[in-house]
Amino acid sequence: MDYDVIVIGSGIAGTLAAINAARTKRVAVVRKGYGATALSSGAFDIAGKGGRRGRPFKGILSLSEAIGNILDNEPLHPYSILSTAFMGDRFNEFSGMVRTIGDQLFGELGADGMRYEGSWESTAIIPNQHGTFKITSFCQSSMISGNLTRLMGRAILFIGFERTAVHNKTRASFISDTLSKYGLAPFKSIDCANIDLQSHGIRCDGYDFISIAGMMDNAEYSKRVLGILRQSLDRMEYEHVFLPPIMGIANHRDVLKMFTDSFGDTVSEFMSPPSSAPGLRLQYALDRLLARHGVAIIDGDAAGTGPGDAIKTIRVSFKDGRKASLSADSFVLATGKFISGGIVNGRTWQEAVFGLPVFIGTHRVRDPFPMGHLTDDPFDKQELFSIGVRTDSSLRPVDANGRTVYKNLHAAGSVLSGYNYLYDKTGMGTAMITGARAGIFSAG
Amino acid sequence: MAADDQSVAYDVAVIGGGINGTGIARDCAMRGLKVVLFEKNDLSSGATGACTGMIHGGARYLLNDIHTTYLSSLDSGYIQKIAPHLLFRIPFVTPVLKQDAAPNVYLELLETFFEAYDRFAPLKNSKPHTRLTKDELKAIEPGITDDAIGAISFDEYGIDTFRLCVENALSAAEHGAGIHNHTEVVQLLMEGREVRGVRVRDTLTGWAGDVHAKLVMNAAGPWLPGIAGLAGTNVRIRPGKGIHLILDRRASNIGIVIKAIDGRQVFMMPHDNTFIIGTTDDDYYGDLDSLRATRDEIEYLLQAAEHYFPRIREYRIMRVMIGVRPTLYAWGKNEDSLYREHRVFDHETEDGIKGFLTIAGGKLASYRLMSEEATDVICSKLGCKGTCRTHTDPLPGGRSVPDIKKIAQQYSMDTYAVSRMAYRHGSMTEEILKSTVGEASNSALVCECEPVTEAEVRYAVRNEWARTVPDLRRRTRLGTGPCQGRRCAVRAAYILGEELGLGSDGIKGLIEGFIKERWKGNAPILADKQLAEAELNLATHILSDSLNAILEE
Repeated sequence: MDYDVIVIGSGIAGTLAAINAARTKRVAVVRKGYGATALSSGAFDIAGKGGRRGRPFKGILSLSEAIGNILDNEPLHPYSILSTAFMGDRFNEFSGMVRTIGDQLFGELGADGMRYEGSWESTAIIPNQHGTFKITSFCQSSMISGNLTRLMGRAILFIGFERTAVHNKTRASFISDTLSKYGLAPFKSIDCANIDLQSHGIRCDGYDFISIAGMMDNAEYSKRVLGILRQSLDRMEYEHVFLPPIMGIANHRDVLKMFTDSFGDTVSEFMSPPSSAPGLRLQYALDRLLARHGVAIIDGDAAGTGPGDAIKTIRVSFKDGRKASLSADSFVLATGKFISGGIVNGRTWQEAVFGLPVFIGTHRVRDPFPMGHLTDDPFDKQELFSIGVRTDSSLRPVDANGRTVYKNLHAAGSVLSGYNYLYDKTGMGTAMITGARAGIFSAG
Repeated sequence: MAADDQSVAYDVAVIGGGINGTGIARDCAMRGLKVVLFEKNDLSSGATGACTGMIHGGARYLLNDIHTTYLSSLDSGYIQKIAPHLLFRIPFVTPVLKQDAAPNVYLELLETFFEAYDRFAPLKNSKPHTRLTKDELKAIEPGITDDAIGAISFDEYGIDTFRLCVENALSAAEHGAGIHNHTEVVQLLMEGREVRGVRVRDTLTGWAGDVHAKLVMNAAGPWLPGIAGLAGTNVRIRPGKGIHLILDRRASNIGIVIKAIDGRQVFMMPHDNTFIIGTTDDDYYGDLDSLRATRDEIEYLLQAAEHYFPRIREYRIMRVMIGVRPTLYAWGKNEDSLYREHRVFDHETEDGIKGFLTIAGGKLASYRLMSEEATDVICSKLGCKGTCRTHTDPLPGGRSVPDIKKIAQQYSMDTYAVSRMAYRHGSMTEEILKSTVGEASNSALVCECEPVTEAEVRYAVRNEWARTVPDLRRRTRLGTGPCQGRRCAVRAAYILGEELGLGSDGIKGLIEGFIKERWKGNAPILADKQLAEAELNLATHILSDSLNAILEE
């Protein structure tokens, strides 16, 4: 055996599986690149809307309420499937497990300098630049002071950079209108301002915040940007400032410290769409976590092999054209959905590595034409994006008859069916919980 | 529209802002007539915007109607002169496959055919045909099937149809015409059997009013039977639905003429930064305002493309474009053998309704000539003596060639961004940048794919009648690139909302409208690589931006 456990994919699900298995086993991660985790906002929404539709603020639930709703109402959600293994108080046991897994992850990330803050009792509301926000259980510490629920009554200011986004009166009034409709009011004031880095002789040639964040990794650059911010903000009235997520990527820890030293907790990063620096920071931190747990990282494209009721080896193709066969006792599939390439469609729909059947709800999907699973309104819940593999309560993929396909294969993260992370917003939570459980199951 | 338009007595009210409507408005206005144009959606949002976008010389008419080929080629040359910035040359090949019946004979026949077409090439600045061996063909386009035994090349031009319409409208406006998009004609003002004007309603504001005109020109494309019905008459067309598939990049720099499973001719060709495969042609009797692509249509095109370009399915099909042709009515012919002829109906002589004309049929490449003919009829009825100058006077962007490097330097912009802008605006490029100097973020990019600057967006709102984000898309190509509006939708809506003085709810409406419109073109073709893009788009709009939350009220 090359390894005891091979995990395919290294986003949240794959990493959690690998580090949990690595406590007792020799583990390798095979990945063809970064996927949806690296593109994400970096924030952890564990139970999202808790199966409820409608406006999020009106319907914000405590985490335990939201988890309860999912277990009660969504029998196919991976949370519900996992919880069926509990004999006693399903809800309490499952919730306890969620906390244990999360505390452990955030503890390890924090020890490594990627500090997460949040709570299992309440949710934070972190705004984006559109006056909407992300409800999140845990977010990076560079964002937490921007929790709107604790900023009521304050004068808040959104900063943009010339050439990256329009931050003007129109946006300011849009933000304040939107927030007040959610009952997130009153604020003393909501204002927007632009800072023109280029006019200060600072290169700002990327049009996305993430390119500025990348340049901020350079100490000289970030020192100058901080100086300009200090100078500009001193002339403005505010009690809290929201900056785009630009506080570095690889060097985030040092950049964040510079900001905290200079501004205390009066400056925080707002959420930004993909691809944003916080997602990449998280991915880098996960990579370090893998290394710390002694997990081998193999950069290559995995393909399943052979018939039978257990997987013995996978084939890996490397970028340079080499190929290798890797054997293990058990395998974890954490390859994501479409962004990461876990689910593919050609003549039919299937899971990419092992060709497993895929499902929407309990329906096995073969017909490659998507329209039956889509509606005309993109803001409706689009069923197509809940497509994925079905599993038993040990996260082993099953076929259309409910029979386990391979006894030594477990699946985790958005390659799973039964939930639609785009709409129910449980993506990070599901990846974290199923990832950890798949790792534990695979280690036997 | 402003209320004072009601007090003006117009010579001509044109219904429809497609290429016929804007072309006629321009010609009439240039001949000194007082013109007003109404379009219920946006300029070029119907059949014109969904067409293949070619200014061709009419090769297909060569066999039966050589005069049409002559006129098409001549007009293709004129369009190059009046709008040089909007055109791009597309070298085409017609491959012959070994499966074709008597392939060597077929290749000979093709060459003979294109030898005849070469006679018209000078009229439209095209290169004469060449005969390519199998190896030469593969060297030019390695993606073509090994089954090809050779090919004939010829030359045509592609055009930005949206800009062509807008520039015709701009030119008409320069000559005093009133242009009103999102303004629907809900009724014709009749006095007995005479049409005296139109009752219009602004579809965005709900404003309604009457506008009087001596003549009403029905240029409503596939909607023209409905307008004719308002006058109590009946004009029959043979509506033909056509779809195109659009790839996220150029699969090839040459156009390829291919045959579908039923022998129909289909094109695959580069268009701007994309590549399009089309078209289909099927009788269509459904709702013109909510067109849907079917699986059969999509598969029909993919199969045809795959036959000639085996790896086409590996490309990312980004969206599908759907339109309905207003082909002249004919019984007993299949869709594809219908000629793209046009006709101007004078309803006074046809069915005794005075003051009402209809133009039906036609094709993009000869829009100018058709407009000239229609305007001739209008002028003879109104006793107007003006002469047509639409073939000699350039469109607003065609008056000079901008110095891209100089402009880029002066406005500290990326040269590529300026060159794309110059493609859309030609000689107007500098004026557009100048018009917003001093305003914040003038040269900031709103759409990074294309790219499109804030100056251009603001200009489109202030000077080109843009009122929705899809309007901006048609004028600037904003949101048409690989990300399909993921990054620019909200930015564009803010700027547009600000320009129009809209509040938060108005801006939300703009965002929603655009995302829904893009989805309509994306959803039917969601497959393979495009699925990843769709997941990312939805994650952006719904997870990060929580747009569904602000819209759910």
